[in-house]
Amino acid sequence: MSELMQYKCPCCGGSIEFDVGTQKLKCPYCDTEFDVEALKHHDEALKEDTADAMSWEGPRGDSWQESEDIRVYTCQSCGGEIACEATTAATSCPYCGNPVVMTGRLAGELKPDLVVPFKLDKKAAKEGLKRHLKGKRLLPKIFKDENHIDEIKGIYVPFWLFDADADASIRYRATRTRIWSDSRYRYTETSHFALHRAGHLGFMGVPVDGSSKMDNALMESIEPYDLSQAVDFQTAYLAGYLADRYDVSSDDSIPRANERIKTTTEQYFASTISGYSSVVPERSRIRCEGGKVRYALLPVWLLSTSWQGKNYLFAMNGQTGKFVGDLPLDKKAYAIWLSVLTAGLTAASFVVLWLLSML
Amino acid sequence: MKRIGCIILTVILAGFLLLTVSANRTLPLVVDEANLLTDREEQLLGSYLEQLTEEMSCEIAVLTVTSLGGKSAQAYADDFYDENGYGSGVGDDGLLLLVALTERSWAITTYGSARRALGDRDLDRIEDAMLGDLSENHFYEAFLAFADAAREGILGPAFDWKQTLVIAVIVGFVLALITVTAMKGKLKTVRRRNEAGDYVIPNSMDLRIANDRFLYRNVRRVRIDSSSSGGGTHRSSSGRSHGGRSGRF
Repeated sequence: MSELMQYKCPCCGGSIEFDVGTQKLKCPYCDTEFDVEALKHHDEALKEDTADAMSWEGPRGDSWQESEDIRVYTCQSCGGEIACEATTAATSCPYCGNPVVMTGRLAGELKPDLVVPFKLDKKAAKEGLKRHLKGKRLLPKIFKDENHIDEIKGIYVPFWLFDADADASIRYRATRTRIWSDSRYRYTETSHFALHRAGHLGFMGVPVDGSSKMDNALMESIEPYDLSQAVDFQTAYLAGYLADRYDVSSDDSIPRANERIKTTTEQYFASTISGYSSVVPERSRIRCEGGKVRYALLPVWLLSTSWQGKNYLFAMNGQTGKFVGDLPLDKKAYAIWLSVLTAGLTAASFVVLWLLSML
Repeated sequence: MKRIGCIILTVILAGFLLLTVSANRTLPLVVDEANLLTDREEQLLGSYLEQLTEEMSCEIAVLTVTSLGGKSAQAYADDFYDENGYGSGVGDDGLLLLVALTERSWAITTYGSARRALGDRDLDRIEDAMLGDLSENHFYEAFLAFADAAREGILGPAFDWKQTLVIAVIVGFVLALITVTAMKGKLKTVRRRNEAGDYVIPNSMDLRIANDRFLYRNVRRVRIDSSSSGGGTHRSSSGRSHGGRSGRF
């Protein structure tokens, strides 16, 4: 059974949240700051407290049995019921807005190894969107003007990080051509070669999105994360944010990691070849050795908006600020730009051709 | 002794005089011995050829004769060109079209820069342009066609507004499409990443085997198309090397 946790300010009893600027926990009511490490003991003490709370969560199980994916908790601040998905690990109470963390979702085998704390706040995410919309001439103007963000949420997304040593052995066929001519013939000499490259290439922290709810392409688009800034997991980092636990196992994520490692390994080994006019890989064997998997929570700002009945989802890397999200195309602007540019460039190329003919 | 010296000097001077004479044309650009053109046509053609001569800095001339007198048309044209000092500049650059009425044959002789500029393909084009009119005895039109085709061969094609406009529209559209596609591409930022280049441990690459083994080699040869050279050359009676061709109409 999952547990529910709220970080209460030891000074005023208010719910405290992780603060991006100071990288500490901060009470929004009395401005008291707490070091994450220092709160560790407090954290453990709270865990013991919450063990008691479980007893009065019992009865609600029956009423929600129709859906396996929904879990209900009781808010420790206001007593309101919090319904959330089975994978939710951190959220906020819909009644009092206090941040809550379901510690059970992140304990035992489910406990993440690492967490990269949020470095950018909500304001930065909004600015990120503004920057993202700037300079895009084919974006419908009305989209920019009318753009009200429906929802903006900071979420810790579960990722599997794969460390591996790729052992590669790749064979290529290559050709080198030489062209010369005498007074009567032009000669083309083609020399054929068999190349062999083998060796190791080390990879560290290749991420694969461990949440089925998150679009993999969206998550891969905001990469990379600087894992040197990752810290050992503490539930306290989740306070004030949403968090999911993984629902795609590490085994299921391996093929994707392998695919990416294979591509890059092939690129690296191909770059050791030079001096040929064509190189075609013939056989490629890549094995991943000493593979190690780590479970990490990485910070993502998700922004969603709708326009003309369609939803647009944006994601920002909560650490680096890299902002992505596909935008709609203004077909009218597209046609106008195409015709104006065609007219201008036609005139320009006509003048150039005319000048060239004068030479 | 003195007399011998005088004779040598005279011969050298005469030779000099002859050379200078040979470099200067004594006849007009249109010599209509066979009277194939009206006076008006001869005048118009003459001034047109003058204009082209100036534009191309190489002389272009037309000669009509009633009979070749047993000579081949090509030899007649070559010799006529040399003997009458056709050609402009130090290189005597120029070309001449000969039409012989009795033999119904024609010849084009090219010399100097005109010989170098007019290859087989250019001569083909000149021939195609004038032969129709020539065989129908439209001599004036044939000579004009010869002049225009020769001009195009030497200076390259005249500026063609229509064709240039079509090319400009195509180039403009393609460039505009590339630009607009780039602008459209900016709207799409969500892409799968199929590589893991960001996660390679720096300097972790260890290349254990790197061997390049030679297998075999083959050589292909293609005959070089020599049609762009200055056409077949031949020597005139004076020993100068001319280009051009001849035929019948």
